[in-house]
Amino acid sequence: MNHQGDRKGLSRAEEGGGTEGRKASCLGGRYTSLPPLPTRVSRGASLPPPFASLQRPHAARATAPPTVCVISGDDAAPEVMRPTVEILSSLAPDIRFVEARSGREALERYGEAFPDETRAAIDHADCTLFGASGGPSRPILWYLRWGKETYVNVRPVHWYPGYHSPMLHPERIDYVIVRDNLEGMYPPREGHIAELSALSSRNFWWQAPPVRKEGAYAVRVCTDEQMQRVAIAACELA
Amino acid sequence: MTFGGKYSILPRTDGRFRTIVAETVRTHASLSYQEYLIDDLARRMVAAPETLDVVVLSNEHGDILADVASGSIGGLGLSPSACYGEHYAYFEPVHGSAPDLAGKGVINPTAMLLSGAMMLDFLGYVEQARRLETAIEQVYREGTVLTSDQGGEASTMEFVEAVSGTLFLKDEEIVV
Repeated sequence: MNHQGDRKGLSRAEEGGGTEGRKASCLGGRYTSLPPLPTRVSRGASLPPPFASLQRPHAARATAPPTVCVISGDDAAPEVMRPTVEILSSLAPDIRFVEARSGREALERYGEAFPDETRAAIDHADCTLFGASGGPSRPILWYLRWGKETYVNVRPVHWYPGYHSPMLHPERIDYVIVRDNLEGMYPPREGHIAELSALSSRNFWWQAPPVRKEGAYAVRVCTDEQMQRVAIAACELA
Repeated sequence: MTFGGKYSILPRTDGRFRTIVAETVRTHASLSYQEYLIDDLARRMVAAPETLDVVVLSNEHGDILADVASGSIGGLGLSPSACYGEHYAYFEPVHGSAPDLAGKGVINPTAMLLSGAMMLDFLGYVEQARRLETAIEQVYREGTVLTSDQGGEASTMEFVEAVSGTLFLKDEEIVV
């Protein structure tokens, strides 16, 4: 089954008419310039969550190989990104890796940590491979999360023999954390504690907040929509 | 399916999330459901991880406990992560940018490689994803070329070479 066809409003880079700028590339000297704006082909309306397709074999790779945006990030992250892209490219040579500048490097070259070119590279790709943010790349991460509305975070926790674990029985560890990536207490919504006196709900709280004191508050929000889709995602994964 | 939250104290937020998760699990006949208060779940991650399979958490709870989980298997250098949306996905290691290690060539690439494997899965290269994971597993099983966070002395590139050697050696064997 074609997982790409299964993704709602699929925005994979499509092959343009010409072949300029369409070279397969990966890090290690074969950087590609950004591809020309692709023609978006809508693959249909109601589609299941994307990673339900993790269980489905990919059938339509022949039509358009995927484009992956590579953002190495800050500090030591490029040292692991570079060899990772080399290995991934060797395993799947038809994947087009497009590197985009981030963080300090982008600041030097473009004068800002999240240049338009980087945003365009993210948008034109099927997915992004991100290294790590040491601060300067944070706006990019926030765009990947809230801008692209990647609503669920999946973190597998699996011990392999040889992993330097402090546990007595690490072989018992094999699970996946499925986490709300958009709501709760992030992004931070903080304010002066006095602002709470404007909330109508305050009359129902067991203890009134100390609105006359110097202090701050942070809110935690949960929408039904987000909680539902995280729950569905987790069940699909299970 | 395990849900963790502070639903006893926060009925409208964590309590609502718990209800939604429980009801969603109920519509999947093959899944069983358990729930724990978040503090109890944290304890279980350390004391009884074998009871966990898929664990659903809110944003900040998941953020915090994922690092506990990572510590329990051997550290952030090992832990991959993926974020999925309806139209997009991104893949990044759980670890940060490690400024103290920058330029030394010693950072563990396992987390980044495993995040790359999750990406291969997402794009449909399932067999390649499994091969990459198997190669990494093999290098750890042999235990001779590991980075310092895993008790070894190998550099980043030495570890990478060990993985690639294992990966493409297998490839040749398959072809033959």
